[in-house]
Amino acid sequence: MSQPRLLLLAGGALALTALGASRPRYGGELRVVVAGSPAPEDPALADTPADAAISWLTAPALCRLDANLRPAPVLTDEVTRLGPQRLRIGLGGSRATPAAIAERWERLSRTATLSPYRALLYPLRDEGRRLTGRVTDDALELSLAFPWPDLERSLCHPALGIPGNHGAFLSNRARTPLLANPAHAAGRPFVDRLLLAVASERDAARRLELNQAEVLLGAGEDSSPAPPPALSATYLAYRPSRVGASLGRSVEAAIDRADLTRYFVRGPAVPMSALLPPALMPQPTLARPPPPASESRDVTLLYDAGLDDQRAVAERLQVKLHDRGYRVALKALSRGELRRRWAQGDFDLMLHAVLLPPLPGPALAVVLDLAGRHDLLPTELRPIGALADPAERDAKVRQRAEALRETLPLIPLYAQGLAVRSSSQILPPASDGQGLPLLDDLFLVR
Amino acid sequence: MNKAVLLLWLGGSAALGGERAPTTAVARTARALAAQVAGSGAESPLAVSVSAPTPELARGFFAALAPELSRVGLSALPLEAAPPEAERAAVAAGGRTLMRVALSVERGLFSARGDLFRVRPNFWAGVSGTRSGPGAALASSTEVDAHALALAAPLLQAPEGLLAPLRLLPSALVLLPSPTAALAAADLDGDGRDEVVVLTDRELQLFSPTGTLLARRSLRELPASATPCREPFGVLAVSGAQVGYFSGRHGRGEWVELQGRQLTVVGPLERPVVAVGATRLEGTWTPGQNTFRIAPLPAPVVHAATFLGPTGAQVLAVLPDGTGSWLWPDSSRAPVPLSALGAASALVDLDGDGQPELATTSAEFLPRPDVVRVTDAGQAVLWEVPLERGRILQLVPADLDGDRQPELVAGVWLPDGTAELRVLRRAGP
Repeated sequence: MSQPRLLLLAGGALALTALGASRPRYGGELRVVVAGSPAPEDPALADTPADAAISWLTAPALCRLDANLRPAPVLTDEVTRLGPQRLRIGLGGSRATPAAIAERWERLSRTATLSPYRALLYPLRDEGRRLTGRVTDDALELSLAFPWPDLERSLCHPALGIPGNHGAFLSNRARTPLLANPAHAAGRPFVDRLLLAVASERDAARRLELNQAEVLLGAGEDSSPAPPPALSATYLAYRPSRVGASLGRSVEAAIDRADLTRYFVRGPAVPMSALLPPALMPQPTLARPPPPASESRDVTLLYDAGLDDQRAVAERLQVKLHDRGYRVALKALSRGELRRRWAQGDFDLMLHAVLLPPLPGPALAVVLDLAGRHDLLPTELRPIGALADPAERDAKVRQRAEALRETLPLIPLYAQGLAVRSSSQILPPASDGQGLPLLDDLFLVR
Repeated sequence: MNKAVLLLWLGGSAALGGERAPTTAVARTARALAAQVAGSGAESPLAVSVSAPTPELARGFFAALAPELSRVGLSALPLEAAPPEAERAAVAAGGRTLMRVALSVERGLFSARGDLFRVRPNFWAGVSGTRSGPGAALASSTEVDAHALALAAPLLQAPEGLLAPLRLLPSALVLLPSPTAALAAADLDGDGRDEVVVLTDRELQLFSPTGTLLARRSLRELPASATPCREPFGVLAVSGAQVGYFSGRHGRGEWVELQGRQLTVVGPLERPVVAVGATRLEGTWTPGQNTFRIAPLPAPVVHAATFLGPTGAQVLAVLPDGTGSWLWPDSSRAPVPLSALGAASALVDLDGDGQPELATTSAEFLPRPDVVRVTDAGQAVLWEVPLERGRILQLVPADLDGDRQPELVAGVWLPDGTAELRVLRRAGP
């Protein structure tokens, strides 16, 4: 059992009466219901905490950050620094081959599958685009292009997950039920099967109340002892060449972020006025700027068809921007198509959610890439990585995030966490450092 | 024992002779502190306030300290007042200097810490009572011994109807960075005292009876298990001078022997094993789980404990559902079915009658607090000791002080994710 899990169990206020020789018991079926839409199969498209939590079950990353943000091995034996800028990832006990990992990570930088999460690998030599030549039978050796002390922890991000039956559960075409993987490098889960269901928020809540599910993700009040950090950040990205340079000011003048989190998006959600969410940096109080001169433009706002929150926010923006002279057409796209349009720069306006790592430096890297400013990564990341002291490094990141806020074609809107509710059949799942519930650590207590 | 004789014994050898080296931890510490006091230039008489886990230890320490202070030309006045009131009491008793000392017995050390300062009122300071004159911080530690443990052992009242009160002192032996997967104890170096063997997911460690790390062996070179266990889990077996270990996260284990300060490999261990004296019973893991099957036990167990006494071998098997069996491999008695067992269970002869009692922990997954219960074969509770914090994962008997009376060593998983070995020392009724 992982340490974060233990911390929760020891800190929780439960008095379990189940007799199990004081150790978790194996067996049974865990039923998880997700309020929303089915999670994408590609971990690099798991932009919401619920998606990432489900994706992790079958496609985990090499490691997992614990509640204290220390990396705990999942697929690796160990990650060792061979030198200040050389890293060895040992995979002796894992079925995930070094070649498969290298191939998976390289994919993030390919044109067809470009992802803002590639920025997590940017400090590697060649930006992590040529890794397959650096594998041995049981290890992957990485060289850094510049010092980046957060690299080991960055590798724990769910978007860097490795599909292919390496997870705690075996993936299958139907995606449910998921069967326990006895060969999982971190140990098989306690339950034999995990039954996954997707339902509307109301139906999902009803299933939990009727004991038709043990875990509910993404609806209602979070019942975990320590609320997880809100790290799924949603931005409004725009192309100044298409919508005019004044759009940013028009949006700032038109929207009230607190309104969005209060009325339009699912909780737990917090307004985000800085480039990084409140969990990573303090939020400035922005005075609403005077609206620029009204423009008359036809623009299209793309949003994720799988996220009701984005539809509601898109409609709100449509109304608000209409008052400023923008005639906004809304277009819902699948996550994959949305990501493709982002990669090609083929959009006027786009609502884009990303799951940020709980580390300011790597989070800033992802946001810069999301803003289409991959070119800024060398100049911004090198001075940050040169600071050995974590506190100094994080302070520098916050300073740069503040300075860059006005220069990027990206308007931060809100950040969301994941509400998790559970039945009395299980202990409430603990969260990892990323704010994701440890579903593979659950066991039935009755 | 009359009071004078008792005081003499409490004071240990320090009370008996001037220059003879003190032989007990209490006497050694008293001499060390007296030297520190003398070096500080303190004025006599000294009012001495001692706080300790038990009044017996406080009084015994003063009995050892007073002659040591006298030896360096200082007289001592005992204070009954607790530290907050000690300063006033010292002045009232006519002391010129107050010495405050707190005693503790933890992690194999007997420690005294405190301070001293002048309490004689300074006439020119008026009513403000300004402190002046010499002051000093005092500290001394030494390895704990049976004498100090006996003085420090609180009297635990047995619940009504139980056989007798049991004097036990729970104390920390070792702090570990990660939870224990298995625990064993045996006299591996032939000094008459048991060493404690700890298996974690990453290494095998051998600790002295006082908690000093004697040897360690990394598990890094062992192949990973094809079906590893999610929890810290494994088996340890002691057979003669050899220790067999097998972690649930690795593909095989090893038999090792202590040679000097090295754990030397004497052979591979391909299966989980339970040792009953010289007999080694090998079994099979349940793939990926925290159980193993071992003949002649009828079902996979989370733990199997053994006891070898004058009447033969006995085995305790704990099943995943908290039930279990108390077995006599020679079939001299029918198996006794058991219930409400924790995975941390052991057979241990605590009352010295040659027959083992059952020591077990709470069967709940998350007990608050976890409890060590000592029962007879019919599971009637003989003694019960609550744990301050954490959850007990393993429990083994060990004779740490060579008195042929076993203590209980518990592997405790702490709330911060680390672990601790705690010793429940039997200090006699």
